[in-house]
Amino acid sequence: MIVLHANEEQYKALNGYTNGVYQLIFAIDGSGRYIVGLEVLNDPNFSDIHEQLDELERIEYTPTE
Amino acid sequence: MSEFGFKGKADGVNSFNAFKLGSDKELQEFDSFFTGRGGNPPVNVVAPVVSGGVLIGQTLTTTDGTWTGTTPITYTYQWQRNGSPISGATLQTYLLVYADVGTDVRCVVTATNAIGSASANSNAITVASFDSDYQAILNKGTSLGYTLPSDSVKLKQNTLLTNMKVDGVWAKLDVFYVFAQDGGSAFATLNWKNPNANQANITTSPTFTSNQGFTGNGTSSYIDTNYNPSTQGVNYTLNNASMYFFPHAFGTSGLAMTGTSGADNRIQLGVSLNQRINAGGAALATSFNYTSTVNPKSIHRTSSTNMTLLNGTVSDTRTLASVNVPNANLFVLRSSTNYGNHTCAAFAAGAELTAENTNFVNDWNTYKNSL
Repeated sequence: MIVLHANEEQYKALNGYTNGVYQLIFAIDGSGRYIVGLEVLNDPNFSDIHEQLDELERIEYTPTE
Repeated sequence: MSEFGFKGKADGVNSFNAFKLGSDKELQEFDSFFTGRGGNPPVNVVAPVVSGGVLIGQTLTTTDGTWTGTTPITYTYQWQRNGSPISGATLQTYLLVYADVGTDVRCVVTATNAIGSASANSNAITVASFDSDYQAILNKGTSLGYTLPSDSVKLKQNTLLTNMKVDGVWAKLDVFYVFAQDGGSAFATLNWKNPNANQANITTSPTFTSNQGFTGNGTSSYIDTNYNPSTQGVNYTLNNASMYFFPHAFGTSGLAMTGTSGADNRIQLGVSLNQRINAGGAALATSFNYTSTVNPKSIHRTSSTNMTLLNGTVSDTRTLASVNVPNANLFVLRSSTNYGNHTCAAFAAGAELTAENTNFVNDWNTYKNSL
């Protein structure tokens, strides 16, 4: 599956963004990469940071236990 | 009807003298004599009686009361809310609706015969309000500007909450989040046990679907309950604790149903050694299978050495020593770094509920299946 990948700088700028009860928290995959699902791009609760989210790199990710 | 009559013999009029009729009775008798409509109008001697339920969704029924007067007498009905007519409520029965909550409802019965008509008021029924704990949830949602559930779902939620109280579940929980409802997604984040505490965060865009709940993406989305059992647990303790995951549906990516950012607490879909509650990093000696059948899944710490794992009402026990109460928020659709793309309809945590589980499952399924 395709997910969004943030570098360290992007992670620090975006991680923890909060809009009411809606918050953005990056997951860390098995390789230590900061990732979030593509759903955030269509989430109106994150519309204020949409441009920054749209700049994140698209990478392939396979969920594992 | 004339106000004037004539005195004389009915079978052979000799003379008539005009006079003024002095009473209604004389008026009636005079009118009856000339029109042939003899009789009396309806007079109520026993008031109508309303009986039935006092909760919205229940039905009230009125009697006609007892009346004297010339038969036949026919009856019509008008239900009133706090003394004002309820539009369209003109049957002998009345179904209580949301607008009736906290008001007095009665019926005005009107009796009519050939002579006239009269009305009588029934007793008034005070329609019960919502349970105070449920009303507190609604009040909190209103104060925060959230979209509340529809009136019909409010009624169903109120019934769920009161059933949980009757079944001894409510008192043993610390947190209870009902995601499956038709209000807004923000309303779903309120902690029913205390809407002023432990409001959940919707983290990284799980999808909210009305009457279903939140769906994870298997990657990064989940619900952070903001409930830390180590620092906020009241009923949840080291050797007496439970977590519930109420699924709407199961996805295919990831196993996590619930957990913490550490490995101490987990409920995972499928056959796994990692089902644990207050058990640190240790795994079960033998796995447990949380099947993908849609039924509440729960894990209960019943002693310092034993856990009970429940698929709906099907239980099994495992031996795994308790280690600590995790000092981390409980998550839904996530455990540690694992995420699931299941759809969660509700989440609960508190003291162990093995004895109450069957009733809790039934209470929940009754609610969920009614949506």
